[in-house]
Amino acid sequence: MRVFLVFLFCWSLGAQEFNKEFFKKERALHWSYQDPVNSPVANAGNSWAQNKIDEYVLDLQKKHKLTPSEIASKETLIRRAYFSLVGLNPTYDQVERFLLDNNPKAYENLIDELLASPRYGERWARHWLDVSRYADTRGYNFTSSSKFPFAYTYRDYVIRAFNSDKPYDQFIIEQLAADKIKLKNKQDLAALGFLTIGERFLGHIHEIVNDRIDVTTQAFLGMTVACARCHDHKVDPIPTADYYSLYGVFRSFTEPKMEELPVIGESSDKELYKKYLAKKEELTKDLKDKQLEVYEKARKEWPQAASGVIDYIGLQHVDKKPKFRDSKDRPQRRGLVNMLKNYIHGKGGKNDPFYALLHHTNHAGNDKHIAKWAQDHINKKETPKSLKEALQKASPKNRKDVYKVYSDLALKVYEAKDKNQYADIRDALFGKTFDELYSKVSHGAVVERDERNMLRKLENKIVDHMAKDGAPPRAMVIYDSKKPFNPYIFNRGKAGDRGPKVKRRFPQIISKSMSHEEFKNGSGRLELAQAIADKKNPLTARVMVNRVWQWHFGEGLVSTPSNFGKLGLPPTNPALLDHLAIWFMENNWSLKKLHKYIMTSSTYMQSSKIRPQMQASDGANKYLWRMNIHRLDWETLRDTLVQSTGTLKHILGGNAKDVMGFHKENYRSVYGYLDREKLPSALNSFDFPSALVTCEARVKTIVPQQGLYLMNSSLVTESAKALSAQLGAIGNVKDRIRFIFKEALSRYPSEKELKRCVDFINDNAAKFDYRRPTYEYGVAKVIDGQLKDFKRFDHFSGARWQIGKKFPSKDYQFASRTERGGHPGRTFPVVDRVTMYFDAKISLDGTLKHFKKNGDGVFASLWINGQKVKSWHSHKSTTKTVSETFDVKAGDLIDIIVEPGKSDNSDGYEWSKVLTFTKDGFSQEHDFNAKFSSQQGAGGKQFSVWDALVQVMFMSNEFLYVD
Amino acid sequence: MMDNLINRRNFLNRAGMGMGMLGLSSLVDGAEKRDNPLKARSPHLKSKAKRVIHIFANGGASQMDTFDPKPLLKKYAGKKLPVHYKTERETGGAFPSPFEFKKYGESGMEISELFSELGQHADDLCVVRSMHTNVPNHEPSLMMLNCGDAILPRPSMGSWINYGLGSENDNLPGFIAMCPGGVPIKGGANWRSAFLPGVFQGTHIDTKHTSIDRLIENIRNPRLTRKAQRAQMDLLQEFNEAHLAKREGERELQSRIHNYELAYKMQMEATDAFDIEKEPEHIRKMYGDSFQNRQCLIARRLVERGVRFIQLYHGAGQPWDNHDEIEKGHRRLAGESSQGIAALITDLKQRGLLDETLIVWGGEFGRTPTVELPKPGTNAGKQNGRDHNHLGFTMWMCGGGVKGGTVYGQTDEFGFKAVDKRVHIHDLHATILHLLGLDHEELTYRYSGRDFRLTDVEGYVVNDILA
Repeated sequence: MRVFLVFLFCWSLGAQEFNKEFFKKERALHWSYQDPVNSPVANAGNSWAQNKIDEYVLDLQKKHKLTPSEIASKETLIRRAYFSLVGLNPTYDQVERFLLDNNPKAYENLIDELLASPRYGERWARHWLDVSRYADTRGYNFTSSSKFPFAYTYRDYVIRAFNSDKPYDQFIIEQLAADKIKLKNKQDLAALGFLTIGERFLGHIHEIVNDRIDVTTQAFLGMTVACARCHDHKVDPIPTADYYSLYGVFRSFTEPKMEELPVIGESSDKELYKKYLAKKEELTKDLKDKQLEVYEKARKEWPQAASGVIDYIGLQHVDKKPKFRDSKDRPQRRGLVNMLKNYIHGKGGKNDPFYALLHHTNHAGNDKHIAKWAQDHINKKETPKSLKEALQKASPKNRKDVYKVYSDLALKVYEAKDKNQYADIRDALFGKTFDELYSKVSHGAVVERDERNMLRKLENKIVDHMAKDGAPPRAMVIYDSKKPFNPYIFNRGKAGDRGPKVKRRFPQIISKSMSHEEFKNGSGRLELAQAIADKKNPLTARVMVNRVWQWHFGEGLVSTPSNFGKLGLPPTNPALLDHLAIWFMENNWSLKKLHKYIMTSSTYMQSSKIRPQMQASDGANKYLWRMNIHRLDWETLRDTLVQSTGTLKHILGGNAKDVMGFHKENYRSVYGYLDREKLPSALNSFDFPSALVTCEARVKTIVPQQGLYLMNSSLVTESAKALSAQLGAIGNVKDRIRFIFKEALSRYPSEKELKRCVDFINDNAAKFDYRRPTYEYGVAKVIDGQLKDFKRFDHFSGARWQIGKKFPSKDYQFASRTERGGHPGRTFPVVDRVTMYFDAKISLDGTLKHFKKNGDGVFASLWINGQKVKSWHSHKSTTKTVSETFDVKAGDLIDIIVEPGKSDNSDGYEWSKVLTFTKDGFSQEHDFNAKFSSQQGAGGKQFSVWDALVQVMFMSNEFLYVD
Repeated sequence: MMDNLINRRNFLNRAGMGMGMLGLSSLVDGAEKRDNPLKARSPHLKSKAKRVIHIFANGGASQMDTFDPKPLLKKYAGKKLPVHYKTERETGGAFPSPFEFKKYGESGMEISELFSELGQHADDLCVVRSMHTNVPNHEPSLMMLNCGDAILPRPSMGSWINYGLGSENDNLPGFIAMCPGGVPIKGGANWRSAFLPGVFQGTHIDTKHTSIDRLIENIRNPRLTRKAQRAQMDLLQEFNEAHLAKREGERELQSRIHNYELAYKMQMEATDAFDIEKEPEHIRKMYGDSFQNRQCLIARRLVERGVRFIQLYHGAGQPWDNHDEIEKGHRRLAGESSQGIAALITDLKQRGLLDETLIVWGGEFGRTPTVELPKPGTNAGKQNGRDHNHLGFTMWMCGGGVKGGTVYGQTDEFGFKAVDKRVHIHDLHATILHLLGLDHEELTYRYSGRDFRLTDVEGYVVNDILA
C-alpha cells in the first residue's frame, strides 16, 4: 500500500520529458505563463469611469448585467483611505477639514498626504511581513535561545522600502541578493532577512533551503515550486529538476555567527550603548571563563578518555564488536572520541611520532607484521622514550597487544602523580593532539551534557542581551559559499537517494524570452533575483499588483495570490490584471503610484452599500459592483484603539516591543515581538497569520473569542478607562458623551444617540459605581482582642517592606513583609490590610508555612473590622488556611495578620494566600504575593459607567468595520 | 464561502453527522475562499466515536512496567540481552520490571500493579503493544504523535479533527489541551493549527489553577457584575442594530451581533464546564484529588458539552521521562493518574457516553528494557532507570468503537522492539480518524498548492481492533 502511494505521487505527470516542446505547449495552455497584454476596452467614455481601471471593470459588469455603485460619501472616503494606507483613524479634525475642503482635488491631495506619512510604511510593511513569514524567533531550538535578536532590522528595512517608494524590482533584488550588489545605503543589507528570518527546523539544512525556495517562489512568482520537492509538480509544469536547480542556489550559502553579523548602523542611544557594551563584555567574560574551565577539565581527563578510546577502536577493529559502551568509569567526551579516532586513522596519526604505530595497526587487516612494526617503531629516533620502553617490555605480537600498550600507557600518564613522569609523551597526550582536536570540535560535541547545558545558558544570555536596547543594529545576512553546491535531484525528496545532476538555473516554464542557461555568478542568487525582477517575466508584476489589489479590496482579482498555477483560481478580470501589471512596470514599479492609481478609480471610491438586485446576481461581488466592507485586522484594531486614547507613540523602528498589554506609551503593532512558536492567543483569535509559512491572505473568522477579547481583555478595558479619564473637567453629561463620540468615532452623536447614552448613564451609574479595594502592608497591635494602631510599612528595601530604612529596627524589630511571607515583630503582628469600597462576599484560601523548630511558631488570623473571625497556627509545619465565606460591606476593613506566640524567635514564615471577592456573578481574586512591590493607595473606581460607555464605542461595529 | 459551507454541511449530513457542523458555521464564517477540501469526500464511513480524550503520558511511559509484561527480563537481570538496539543514550544489561502483573477480566489481560485500577475495565481496553515511531527524542516524537510529522510545522491532530467535524458547542472551544503547571516541551506547537485556520487551534489550559479566570483567557470581566455588563451589551447591540439598519443585507455585521451574544453566554457556560465543584461529592471522590485526576473529571464535563478533542497532559515538561529512579517515578506518576482514568471510564460508561468517546492513552514513545548507564548530568549517576525507546511501546484505546479486551501486536520477548503487527503513529492517526468517521486519505487541506493530510502519504487503519 505504502509503495503504491509513493508510486502514485511520482506518477503525476507521467514519464514526461521536459523538453522545449513541452514547456512551449504548457505556456500556451495556462494564462499566467503568457505575457500580459493591454486589451481594448469595449465601454470607453462612460461618465462613471475615472480611469482605465473603471473601464475594464465596467466591461465585465455590463456582460453580467450589473451596474456600479455611486461614489461613497466623503466621510466614508476619508476613513477608507486612512484604513487602506495608514491603518489608523482620521481624527475628528481631519475629517472636518476634509469635509470642508471644496477643492476638487481634495481627495487626491489626501491620498498624497497619506502616502507621504511615515505611517504608510508601517501599515504596508505589515502586509508584506505576512508574505515573508516574519517572526523574531527561529522556532524550537532545544535548550538554546530561539531568538533572532536582529530580525527587527529586516522589518525596519521593509518599512523604509515602502516609505521611500523603493521600486519593486529593486525591492525583490535586495531581499534575495543584497549581499551581491552595490548598495547606496548599507542599512539595506538587512533586506536579506527575507530569506533568513524563516524557521530553522533545528538546523535541518534541507528544510531551511526548502523554506527559502517556498517563500521566494510563492511571494514573487505565485508559484508553488516546493511541491516539486519529492516528485514533478502534480499539476503545474514544474519538474522536480527545477526544484533542485533552486535548491542549488539556496544551498550555496554561509551564514555568519550572530555576533559576527555586519553592523549596519549606530545604536539609538549613546548611554544605552555604553551600558550594553559593558554588560556584553561581562557576559562574554563569564562564558569564556566557563569555557576555559571546561577546557581544563577536559584536558585533565583527556589521557584517561584517550585510553578508553584506544581500547574502543582497538576492540572494534579486532573483534568487530564495539564495546565502548562498557568502558566504565572512563570519561567519554564523545566528540573527542570521534576526532581522535579520525586523527589516528588519518594523516595526522601517520606522521605522529606517538600514534604512528597505532595508525598502522589500525589499518592492518591481520597480525602478520605487527611484531616487525613494533620493532621498527622502537627503533625510530623520534618515538618517545616511554613508549619505546613500554613496547620493548610488552613486545606485541598482535594488534590487541599494541592497543593494550597504548591504552595502559595513557592510563598510567593520567594516574601519575609526578608531572615529570612520562614528560616525553605527556605532550603527545595532553598537549598538541588534544589542543588541536579541541579547537576543531564544537562545544556541543566535546563537552558533557551538564557542561553543555551550563554553557548554553551563558550563550543564551548573550543572545538575549543582543536583543536589548542599546545594541547596534545588524543585518541578518547570508553570503555565497566559496564553492557553490552543485545540485542533483534527491529521488523522492530523500537526500540520501541521489538522482541525476541538474544546473543552477531559472525555472524553465517562465517565459520563452528568458534565459535558462546555468547561473554563472557564484550561487546564482543574484541572477535568480534579476530573472524574477525582469520585465519579461510574466508573473512578477501580475503577482504584486494582485496583492496590492487584495490589500485594498479585501479580495484579489486572483483570490489565490500566491498560487497563479493551475490549482489557483483564474483572475476574475484578466484584462484588468494585465493592464495593472503593465501599468505598474511602465511606472517604474512604483507602489505609491499604483496605490494612487487604484484609489482614484471609481471602483475603489464607490459605496459599499448593498443593492439587493446586484447582491442576488453577484453576492460574492466578483465583478466589483460595490466596495467590500472591511473588518479591522488585529493591528488596525489595536492601533486605532490606543490611538483613540492618545497614548500611541510613534517610533522609527528598533527592537521588538511588547504590544499586548496597555501601557502609558503604546507602539504600533507592527513593532510587536513575535515568537513563531507561541503567538499570543489574541492574535490567533483575530486571524493573525502563523508565521510558520508564508501567508497569502488572512482567513477571516468570527469567533466568540473575539467578542470575549473586546468585552473583557485588559487592553480594551484599560483603553476605555484611559479615554474616559480625559473627561475630567467636562461637567455636562451631554458634552461628555459628545467628547467620547468625537475621540472614538471621529464624529458627534445624533440626537437620538445622545439621548440613548444619557439614559444609559443615568439608569446604570449605580451598577458600575464602586471602587476597587486597597491593599496595604503594615504592623498593628492586638489589644483586648481588638486589632488597633495599624501602621503602614513605609520603606521598601527591594526585597522587603519595613518601617524605616534601618533593619531590624529598634522599635519594630524584625517586623517585615517579604514577597512570600515575612516576620512579625516581638509584639507587632504583620498585617495585610484590605479596605473595601463595595459590598461583597469574601473568602480566603492559602497555605501557611513555618520552618524552625525553635520558638512556638506563628499565629495567623483573619479579621473583619477589628474582630477576629478565623485563626490558624503553624510551627515547623504547613497549614492550609481556608476560610468560610463572609459578607463584607463598603468601608469594611479586612485584616490578615501573623502574630508571634510568646516569643518571636525564628518566626520567619511564608504564606501564599488569595482573597476572593464575589459579587453578583463576578468574582475577583487578589493574590497578596503577586503584586508585592507596590502597595496600592486609595482605590480608584473599578470601572465606571463612563468607562463602560467608551468601551461600547470600541466594541461597536462602527468602530470595527470600515465601509 | 457560503457555497463551501453548504457543501461541507451536505457532506456531513450525508455522513450522518449533521449536528457537528452547526458550530463550525459560526467559527469559519467567511473563512475559506478556496475549493472546499471536503467536497469530493466519499461519505460512506459510519462512526461511533464523536470525540476523543487523549491522555498523554508525556515523557514516555515504560511498556514493560505497565501493559506489556516481559518475565524473561528476570532471567537476564543485569546481563546483556541477546538483542540490543541503539537508543538515545547508552544502556546496559536487562532491567526486569519491579512491578507485579496480574490478569484481569474475561480476556485475562495482563496489567501491572501501577494501573491495577484499570483492571476492572480490562474487557473494555484495547492495548496495542506494537507501537513504534521514528526517533528516540522527545521533541520530534511529540510532534509526530501530535502533528504527524517530526520536523515540519504541520497542524495537530486535534485541529484536523475539528476541521473535519466542527464543534458541537458554540460556547466552548472545540479543542482543549490541559496541562497542570505549565506546558509540555515544545509548548504551543503541540496543539497548533499551522496552516489550518487559527480557529482550529487548541486552547491550552493550565489546570493547576482552580480559578476559571486563569483557565480561559478573557472569560470574565474582572470588574463588571453581570447586570452591569448586560446593560453595556444592551446598549452595544442597539448601536449595532442601528448601524446594520443602514447597511441592510450585510451578513457579516449580522453575524458579529449574534457572536457578541455567544461570547456573553460563553462566559457562563465555560465557567460552568470547568467548575468541578458542581459535581456531587461521590463523583469527585471517585476521581480523586490530584491535578491529573481532576483533569479527567473536567474532561468528562467537556465531553458532555460536546468538546471534540481533549488532551490531558500529565504535567509540564516531560514527567514520565524516568531515566533514573523509575520504580519510584512511575509509581508516583501512575499513582497520580490511574484513579482518575479508571473513574473516567466508569463514569462515561454509566452515562452511556463511552461508546461515542474514544479514550487514547500513551506517551510519545516507550522505554528500554535495559538499564540506562549512569552519565553526569542526565540521570544523576544512578543506574535504575530506562532510556527512551521508539522501537516498541504500548498505547491503549477504550470506547469509541474499538474492540475491548484486545491485546494487539507484540514486541520481542524483551519489549525492545515491536515485531508483530507493527503499528506506526501514522497508522494510529489513520485509525483514530477512521473511528471518527473520517477517511485519513480524504481529510485534506489545500495549502501552498498541495493537498495536505494528517498522515501525509502514510498510514493505514488497523482494522483488527475495530469493534
